[in-house]
Amino acid sequence: VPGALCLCLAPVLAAALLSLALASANRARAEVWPVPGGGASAPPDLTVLDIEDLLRLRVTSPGKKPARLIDVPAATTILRSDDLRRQGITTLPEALRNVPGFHVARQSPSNWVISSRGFSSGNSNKLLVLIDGRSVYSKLNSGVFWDVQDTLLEDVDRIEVIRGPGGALYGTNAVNGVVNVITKDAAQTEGLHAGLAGGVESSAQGEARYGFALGESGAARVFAKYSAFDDAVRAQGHRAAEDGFSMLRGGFRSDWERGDRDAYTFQGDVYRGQPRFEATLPRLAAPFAELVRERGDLAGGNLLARWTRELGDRSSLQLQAYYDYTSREDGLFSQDESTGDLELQHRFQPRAGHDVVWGIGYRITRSDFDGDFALDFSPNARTDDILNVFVQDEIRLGERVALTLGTKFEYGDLDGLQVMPNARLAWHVREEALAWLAVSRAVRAPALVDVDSRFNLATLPSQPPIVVSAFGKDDFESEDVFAAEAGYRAQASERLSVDVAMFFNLYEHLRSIEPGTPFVETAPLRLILPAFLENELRGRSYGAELAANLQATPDWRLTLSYSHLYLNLRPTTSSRADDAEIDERRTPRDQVSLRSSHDLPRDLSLDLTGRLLGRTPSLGVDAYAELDARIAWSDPRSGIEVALVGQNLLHHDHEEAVADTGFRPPSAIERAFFVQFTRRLP
Amino acid sequence: VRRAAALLVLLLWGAAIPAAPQEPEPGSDVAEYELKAGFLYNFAKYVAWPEAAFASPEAPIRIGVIGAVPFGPDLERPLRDKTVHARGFEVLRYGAAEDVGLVHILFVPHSERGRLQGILERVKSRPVLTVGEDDAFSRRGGVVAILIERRQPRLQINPRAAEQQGLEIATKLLRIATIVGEAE
Repeated sequence: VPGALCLCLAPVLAAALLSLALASANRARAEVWPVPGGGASAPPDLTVLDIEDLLRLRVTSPGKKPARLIDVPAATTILRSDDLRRQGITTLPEALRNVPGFHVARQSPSNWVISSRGFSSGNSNKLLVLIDGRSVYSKLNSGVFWDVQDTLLEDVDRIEVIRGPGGALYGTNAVNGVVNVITKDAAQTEGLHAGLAGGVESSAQGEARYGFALGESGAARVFAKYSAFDDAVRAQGHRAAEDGFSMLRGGFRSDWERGDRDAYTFQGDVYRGQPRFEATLPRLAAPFAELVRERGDLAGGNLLARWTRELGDRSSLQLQAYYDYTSREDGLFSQDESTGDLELQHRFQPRAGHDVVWGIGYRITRSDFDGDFALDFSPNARTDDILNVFVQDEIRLGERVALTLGTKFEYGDLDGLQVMPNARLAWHVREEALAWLAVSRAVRAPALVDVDSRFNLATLPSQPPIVVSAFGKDDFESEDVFAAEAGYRAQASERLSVDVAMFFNLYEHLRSIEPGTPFVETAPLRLILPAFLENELRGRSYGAELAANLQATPDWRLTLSYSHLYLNLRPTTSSRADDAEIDERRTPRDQVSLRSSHDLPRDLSLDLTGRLLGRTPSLGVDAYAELDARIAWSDPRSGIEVALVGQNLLHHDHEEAVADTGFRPPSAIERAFFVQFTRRLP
Repeated sequence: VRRAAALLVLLLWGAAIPAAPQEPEPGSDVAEYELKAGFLYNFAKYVAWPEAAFASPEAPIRIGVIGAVPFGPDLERPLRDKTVHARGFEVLRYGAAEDVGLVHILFVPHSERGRLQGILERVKSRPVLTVGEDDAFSRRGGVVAILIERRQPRLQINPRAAEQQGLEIATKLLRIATIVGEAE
């Protein structure tokens, strides 16, 4: 590993040396350090520059900022559109790779393991993901099918990531984190954007967006994106895996205002994807297993409408409704899920020093399942609804101290009443430094897989055959966490910002797999070795995350992130399960990533990202280092950008997650090179 | 080692040494509204107002800003003591479009997007250079938009709107800007 670390960091260090050389060669330039935002130093006077010189400057951060990150008393990371573009990524899940506290592993071109603060698996279920306010977790397994979550990255304004519980605002599933993908207001995306990307062992992509004014005070955009992913390779034997994937997606967003106070958003998406699927599924008749090779069919769409009314300074009312439909047919099963969601939020200041947000929401989900011998559900159709109410008050306790108290109540068909309280104390040590403490409770509601499923994992060839099966249980309870967190975030100097978060979590009622008493089923006669999904696991975790951002020179930024996680799980005394250790070792104990973003002369830019992940025995992967690189030339006048991207440069191929692939054989992700060409026209 | 530790402590607690105002190099990073203040000053150089727009040859160029005040002190400070064609500057802040008085340059921030029509109506056919911040602004009758795209500034000008306001824009400014709204 140290060797790999050197290899991985060598280019970053080389860039550092190069930059230092440039800086000393041009000392005069290093001394005219621009001071963003003033502070203790006198800001530069830009009126002395001529207009053409002004056009060559860049602003330190993009236009509107809804809130300063430094003021948020939670472990938060914000990925801005410019960062996303410069990482050379082509899909949404890749964006989370360098977020502290997150573990991202690609199982195949379309399947991802993504988790926050532990419990990484192909069905990671303690993370809530929202795209423009629409929850995308599946009722089926409380997980996120990342293969169908994407959008035009060009139009993403920012991705707000909150590590730790967010239940008090976001409700169930926000156990260890919340990912909020927020796309740009249509007024910010007028004009034409077109992009093409293609290369070796990578995806081929084409995308286009057209944005236009809509009447006097509105704007709209339409977009389409097509991606085709190459097959990965099989871990054993290095033959091509049959897991390529293509996805076509289209959508629109319109925003408009009426009068001084009302703003409306109406948006929607449709997609259709076809993953190749290869799996060995258990069967009841000899030879008791079948190799299935198919093309899956993933389709879906959604419509969302939002109305916001300003009621005065920091007072507003928001009403949002959406409908979401997904259909999944991936070789193993097919499922249709429809969700309708209605939400009302009201923010107001009842008296000085109080900032109250409260809301009420209702969600109804219908799921229809059509299974296989390997996985089936009983009943195979279900309609569930959840009603929720939340309230939060931010109380000013002084010039520099604020206390936020909040709670959410949810009442659902599968888990009854759940209370998710939260208290956060924020202390501005100084204007640009915040220390915070938080305690919260959050839950993961039972998914259909926890209550209604039956997995037939394997058939052993004997007479009669023996089937190893896992069953969901009707009385499966919510998993819950109590979390205590502390953090410190500071703009330490004009060039350096740091963010440290620490947490201690207590988990109760985690899912365990309990062996049961064998029994016999008939027609044909077989012996069942059963296991049941129960809540007999408990445990604790603690860890720390560090993010640091150094503007080393005006043209060169370094971003470091480090995550440490310790997880200790124990079965309860009544448990006979042995999966505690497996769940403990799913996420690397240590992860480091270092990003270098360099603006070079002649409109060139160079980005390097090195990362190092500790071993994950339960995912079958050893510690590894990887390196991504992107070099780009952009011409601000013509709107043309050409980029060359290399991913996973340190290995010909390697696995990122071998386990939890369902019945599919594991795939290894290959080194990839591609060229991205984009053009923007006003 | 001790010196390094002291330096680190200094860094962490943000004890920055005050610097004199500097002239930034092209390509470097600056705060958004300091940059926009620089543009407003430059527009005064490249736009000609009819003589009747000023009470006297020395009357200052009046810059109005509507709505939420994004500039902070970054607008008044650099313009203090500056002149263009022997005219000084005066900065005026307005809460709403109805309050806008006699100005030569009117800055309309993002926040006023929904009220754009009313604001343009208010200064219609008067020698006022309207300056906005988004693409829609210059397409809907504003004269100049300062757009920030991927942190890079770009100017967008609607010459037809300039004509309607009775302003003459220097060729140099037109050349470096994107032209919109001519087809109408």
